[in-house]
Amino acid sequence: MEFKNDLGKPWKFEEGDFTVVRSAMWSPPGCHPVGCGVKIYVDKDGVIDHVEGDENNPITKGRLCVRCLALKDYVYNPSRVIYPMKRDPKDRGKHDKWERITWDEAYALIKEKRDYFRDTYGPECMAVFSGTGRSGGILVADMAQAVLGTPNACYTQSGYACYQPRSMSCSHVLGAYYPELDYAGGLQNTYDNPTYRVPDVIVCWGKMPLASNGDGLFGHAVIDLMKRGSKLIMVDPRVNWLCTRADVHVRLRPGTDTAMAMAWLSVIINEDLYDHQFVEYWCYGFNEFVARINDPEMGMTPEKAAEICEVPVEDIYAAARLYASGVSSIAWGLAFDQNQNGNQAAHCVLALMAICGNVDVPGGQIIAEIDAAPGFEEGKKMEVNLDKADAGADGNAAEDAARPQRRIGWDAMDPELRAKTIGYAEYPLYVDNIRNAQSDMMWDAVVSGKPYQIRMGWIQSTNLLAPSCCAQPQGWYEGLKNLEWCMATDCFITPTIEAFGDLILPLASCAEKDDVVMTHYAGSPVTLAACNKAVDVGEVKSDITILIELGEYLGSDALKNEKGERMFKDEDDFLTQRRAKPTGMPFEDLRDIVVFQRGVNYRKYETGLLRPDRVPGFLTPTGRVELWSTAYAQYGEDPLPYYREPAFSPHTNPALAEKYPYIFTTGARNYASFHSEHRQIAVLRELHPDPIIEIHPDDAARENIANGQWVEVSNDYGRAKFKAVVSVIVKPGTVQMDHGWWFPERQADDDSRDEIIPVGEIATFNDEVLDVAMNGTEIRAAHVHSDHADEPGLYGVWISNVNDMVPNHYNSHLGYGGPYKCNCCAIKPLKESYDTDMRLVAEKFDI
Amino acid sequence: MPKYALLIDYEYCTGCESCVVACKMEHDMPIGKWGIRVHDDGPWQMNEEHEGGKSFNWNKIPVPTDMCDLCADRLAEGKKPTCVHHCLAFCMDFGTIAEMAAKLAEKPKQVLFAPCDCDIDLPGADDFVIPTAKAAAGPRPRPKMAPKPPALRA
Ligand code: SF4
Ligand code: SF4
Ligand code: SF4
Repeated sequence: MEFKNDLGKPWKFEEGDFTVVRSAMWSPPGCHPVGCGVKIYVDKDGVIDHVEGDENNPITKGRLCVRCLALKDYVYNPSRVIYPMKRDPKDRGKHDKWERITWDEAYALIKEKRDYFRDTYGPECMAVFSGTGRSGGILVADMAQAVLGTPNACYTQSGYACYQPRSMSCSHVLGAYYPELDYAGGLQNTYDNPTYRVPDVIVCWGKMPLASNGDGLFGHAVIDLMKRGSKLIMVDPRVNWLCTRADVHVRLRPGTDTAMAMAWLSVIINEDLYDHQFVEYWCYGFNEFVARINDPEMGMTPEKAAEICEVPVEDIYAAARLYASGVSSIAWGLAFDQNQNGNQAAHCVLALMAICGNVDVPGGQIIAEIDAAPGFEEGKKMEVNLDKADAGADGNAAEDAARPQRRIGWDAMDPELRAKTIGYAEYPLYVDNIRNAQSDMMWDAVVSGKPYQIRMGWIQSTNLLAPSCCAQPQGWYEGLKNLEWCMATDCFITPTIEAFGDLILPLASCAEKDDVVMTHYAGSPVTLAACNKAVDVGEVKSDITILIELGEYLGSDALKNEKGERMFKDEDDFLTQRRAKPTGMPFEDLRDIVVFQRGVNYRKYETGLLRPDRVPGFLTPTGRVELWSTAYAQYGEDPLPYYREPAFSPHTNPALAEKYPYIFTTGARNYASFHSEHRQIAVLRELHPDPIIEIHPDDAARENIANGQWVEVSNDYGRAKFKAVVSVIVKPGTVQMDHGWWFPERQADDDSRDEIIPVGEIATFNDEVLDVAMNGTEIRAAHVHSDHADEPGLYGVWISNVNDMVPNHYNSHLGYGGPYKCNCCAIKPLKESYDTDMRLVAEKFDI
Repeated sequence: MPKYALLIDYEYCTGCESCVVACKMEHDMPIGKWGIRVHDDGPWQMNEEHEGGKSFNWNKIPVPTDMCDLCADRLAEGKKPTCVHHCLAFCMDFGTIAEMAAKLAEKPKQVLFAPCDCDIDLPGADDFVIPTAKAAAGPRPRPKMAPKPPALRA
């Protein structure tokens, strides 16, 4: 049967009483830059009536996940902030003290404070803190460096444990952007395009893409490909749903990914299953690499890995052989970042892709091409400074060599000021790569005032206290209380903003602004799609508008062009210059077509399209995929991969394992929320009302825990409460806990914190106050105890705060990664129930 | 009389609940009410010997509730039910019972639901006709038999 559809309709059209706006989405709210196509139905009063999936989008074809389906409930949520508001710093934590002001007053206040702090203490005493995945989040360096004039932009996640560790390895080992699963998104007719080929094998490694759509990958493309014949290999400790459809599932022990990847390499190299031509033409250091893999001490065999990873050795052989059997593609995830050994795991996985000939081939791993350097001419040789070739979190930075304009604020800054970036001396690669202060060093700065005190803050699209975007949030809480003044931008008063905010600027959601969704942060040749403004809500503004207006108000030179005029006239001009560039058209034209498919040139290393100087090869100092990494060597890291046991594993520290017998992982995603977003959207909360812990039936029986019972989980750093899901989804001895939880239906000043952190309690480790060196890593002021009463509960943000159990400073040698997914804990059942009362949620957030 | 049906391929249903929320939004259903719900069977281990792939059972099966009206308002406008439109796995289909039954025969691991009566006439709905009990009741053709195997030599 045939049904009506809207194929071929313009970006805006009338249907009955509605104006329909076709658009693409990127948080807030929703997720990373996936850009699913939506049709927003706006009624005669300019109010969203409902949202449907846009069948014109070549990838999503009308499909939508629950988060965009509930868009209206986010946009018109009664707790949404839609006007600028200020509050006296002495009233922090008090929800009833916010006072509405105008934008002019807000900008004037920011200028007064910025000038005072800059002139009194130096600009570096200001810091802009940002979170993950949002459209505005990737502007954090610009906000800090170009707008305020401080070098200290900071993504507060310990070890930047999200995407950036992988990105960094890509730019230095591979010399290209992040190589993504090829799901034909950039090709006309996608899967049916004749240049495309369906991968024979898809590997999901430390990634469950269906709910997360991590880094911009439309997760259900994996389902499309399975229907078209792709086989699945899953590398995951949990039996997630995809694992039940996989040909091979390697259930490794959390945190042992490097051992597993080295074992695959051992099988593939020693059974001669690799692509000799690719290795000979395009790889650097293969012999040394093989010697390392086969080294009796530093190397790895499947048998050794089977022991380390606690899997049957046959599974390792089966997985490696299946991977090498055809065109295979690896979708690799957050597990690489949330691991101290993740730089090595990434190195190995990149090596797997390379030596098996899967880089930049149809159905393999796709990479975006980069612009030619300014002044490049065909046939003329040119020098490129490869020191500057790096890949930022926005995936664009390998283009720095080609497009210096991206680094406006950083480059405009006095080198002496740049050198003051927190953590620059200790972790130069990290800071140079992403132009951010190193997160764990920033934690030191806010809790101890060393090397200098941070006095003014900007909470820019992060809810870091909710367990989403930092380690030891209790410590951050105590530290950030020392901020003398703090501004914030967001759509809601989050616990973080309630705790420190003295000014909040209301942020536009994706229904209320123009934007460009750069899928995969533009690092993969998929799509660029217009987020088209559909409605007006209060006085909200987008991050981009705030950047332009505030930059001008503060007189920022970095945001002026050579003529001394505004560099970006307005939001749309910014989008044209900065985000729509690969389309070759201004934003206004992109708006009309809504989605631009970028097209894919495969095997670009043969044609020079991976380098700004257009020389064939990769953007590394040797021009090849560096199996022996010159960059790692240069920055004091081993140039070859090695396995390192997780710091909190029972093998590293048996005494600790006696006290805390369970391995915990966190960060698994569900459909109902994007990290700490969406807890106040009743229809979504109903799908996943409570924070859960997954525990194996054997362990539940041992601990006397019933399915659905609440438990308290703890280790030396903190404790948190979860509702038990007793299931074989996890291995015996391993538990998985939700992240991102807060309870907006509770009060800002509820007393839930006192239960979690009893006043006066001092955490100890082996009977010593925690300020110790462990596993060669120093834990500085590891656990902040509380000696003061009457701390606000901040919407219950401490109740299920899993990140409180994760310490800072467990990074790789290069400053990346943290032990979020391979830590340890004890569990005890609770008598009380903390079940969410959905009636309360529905009542409070009814729209 | 039931005329239309939802066909769900639970080999691919990921449990994303887009059908659930799309349905609630379309019908403005409050907390605690649903037009469709996803029933969850798993994971549980089929073979204790092995856990390395295809060894756990986990099926998610969306089941329309008594409040499902097959999106009558949308059908009247010629649009597909909203659950089918938004299903992330493209594992839901909608059509006449006969059309969907024919698809059901094409692959295993599917279920067919005819949640309610519906008297809307959709274009093309009569192209598929289900043989009624009467029409099928003629003389039964003799089933064909396999050719007789040659006799074994002594
Ligand atoms: S995946 Fe992201 S963009 Fe797509 S529908 Fe869900 S929230 Fe929206
Ligand atoms: S057909 Fe319509 S009413 Fe029935 S379950 Fe699907 S969305 Fe709900
Ligand atoms: S929308 Fe589709 S895949 Fe998602 S739960 Fe419903 S039937 Fe399953």
